[in-house]
Amino acid sequence: MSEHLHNDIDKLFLDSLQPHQDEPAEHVWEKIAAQLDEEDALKHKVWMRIMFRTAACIFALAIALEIPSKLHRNGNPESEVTLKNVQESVLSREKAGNSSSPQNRVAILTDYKNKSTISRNNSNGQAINRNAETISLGAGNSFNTLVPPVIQSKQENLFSGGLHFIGLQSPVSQVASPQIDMDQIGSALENQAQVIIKRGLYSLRHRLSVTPYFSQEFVGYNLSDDDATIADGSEIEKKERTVFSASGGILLNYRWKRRWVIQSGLSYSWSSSIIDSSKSYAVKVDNSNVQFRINTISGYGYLPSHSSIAPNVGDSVLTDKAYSKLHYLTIPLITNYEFKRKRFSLLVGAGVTINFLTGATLETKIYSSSFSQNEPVVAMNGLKKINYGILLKAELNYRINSKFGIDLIPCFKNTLSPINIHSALSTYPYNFGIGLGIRYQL
Amino acid sequence: MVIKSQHIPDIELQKLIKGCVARDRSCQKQVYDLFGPGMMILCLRFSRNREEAEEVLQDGFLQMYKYISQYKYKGTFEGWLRKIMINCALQRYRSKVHHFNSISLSEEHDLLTTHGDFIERISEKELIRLIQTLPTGYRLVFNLYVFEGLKHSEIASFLNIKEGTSKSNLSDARAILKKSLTRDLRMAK
Repeated sequence: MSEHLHNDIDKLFLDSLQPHQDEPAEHVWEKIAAQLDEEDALKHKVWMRIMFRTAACIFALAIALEIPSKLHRNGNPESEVTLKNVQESVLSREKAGNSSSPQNRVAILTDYKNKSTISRNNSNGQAINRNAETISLGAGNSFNTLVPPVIQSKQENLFSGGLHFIGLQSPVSQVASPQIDMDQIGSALENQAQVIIKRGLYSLRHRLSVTPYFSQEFVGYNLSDDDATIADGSEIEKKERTVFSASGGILLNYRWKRRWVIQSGLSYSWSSSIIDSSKSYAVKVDNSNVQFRINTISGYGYLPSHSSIAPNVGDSVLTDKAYSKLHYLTIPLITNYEFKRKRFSLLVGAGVTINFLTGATLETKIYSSSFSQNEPVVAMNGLKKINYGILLKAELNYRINSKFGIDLIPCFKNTLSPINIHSALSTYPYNFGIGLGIRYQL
Repeated sequence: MVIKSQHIPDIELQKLIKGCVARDRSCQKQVYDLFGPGMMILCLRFSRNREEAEEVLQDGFLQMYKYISQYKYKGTFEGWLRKIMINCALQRYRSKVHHFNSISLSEEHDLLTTHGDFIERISEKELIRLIQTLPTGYRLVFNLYVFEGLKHSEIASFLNIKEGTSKSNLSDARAILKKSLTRDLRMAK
């Protein structure tokens, strides 16, 4: 009977109200539209800011790229002179009619620190420039040479057999470089065989350097409500702000090509956030346990009850400001391109990071009339042990001497996978850091 | 009032949704015009008064426009929007302190079953008003159970309460509504 009556009540309300609608007041849409306009304006502002920053980055990069090209154009005065001499030599030979035939084609070999550049005239007399490790010299090519003093003795060999180097341009500072094996070239030319110019190789030790560094970081969060129908996401976001974030570690730099550097290493990062005072509600943790739950952007923690009476589900306590602390160990892998100018060098790099969670805690005070204030430090739950990210960085180095340099390291990191699971929000932290380091050449 | 949203073709609705994703204001307005009245009655049921219902409606539509790109056309758009509205109503409830205690109700002689004509004549506005007079906890449980068709276990996890509390709240809500209807019936007589 009672159930029947209950069903009548339910049916009465359901049948009467379900098919009906109610026109909202005009001002509701006006308020919604005004709010949407505000959001659009804010988005536009953010986009403008991003565009401006991107343009600034491109401009800075363009300037950075201009430096090495200028450097290349202006170069070392001594090598310029050498090049001029070579060209004059070539021209004089061409005027003399010695290089008109394919057999008299011209090759200019340039050895910078660890790269070989070959400029070789084709049959039409146009210069072909390319970087190479191997060149083939056909039979009958004619060469003359401006060979550095240290390998002058080999010149005779080169001239013997009717073969002449037109030019071998080497900056004076690199003259002593043993990278060009003149014996090999000489004998190869004598035998009219393939000439191999080995790229200047550093020893492993010379390729390695280490950079211990410390970086102060500014953290932001990209939040994604995977399910808009789950509550609390935006509320949590409003309450929390990051107050401190930093990282420190050591980078191992490996120069695998003249201008390319690979970096890896280990860094330790930690961040601290404040969550505004709020109510925490008791929820069922497991079958026999009910605890107050405090939510943060990253995860959540269960506050122990210090009352003799266990809380019921739905009970609430007022918490003071809560402090969440996250600790990560990070292994980066970064590819860098180096621009150099005198004592300065700029490494511009991009890479990936793998982050291991090493600790996550939550600390707050609970206000209650029945028990005194407490400051429990509890573990934070709902965080992934491992997450992945990308990294963009620029590293400006000033070389103090052959062993030491100072690094200024602006860096942008963004996680590709959320740092949390089973939360109202999926959180993708990003941070911009400015670090200071010391580079030591091994 | 005729439910307008049921008459819009899916293709038209998809166009409107795409327009909303692109933040086209005219599409947003059309979606609001289509679904606003249906959602308003839901908000009225979940709220204490019309002002609060309008605030919930406003929050709900703003949330919907924000997250509309996440709508994957699984299930009806209206159902998805309903969930957002309910969520907004619950969020409002969560931000305030509420208790799910039982209150004692005096036994009333049941006149309702014998006065079907009165029941039929009672307006939906009056029924809404009756629901709005329920204590917040009861109102939420009653709405979720009767109108949204949730089970007690689902309501319990949704509201972070015990299943028994949900059952007891529903029973009390029904009793209060019955009592109010009986009083109205007596006054009408």
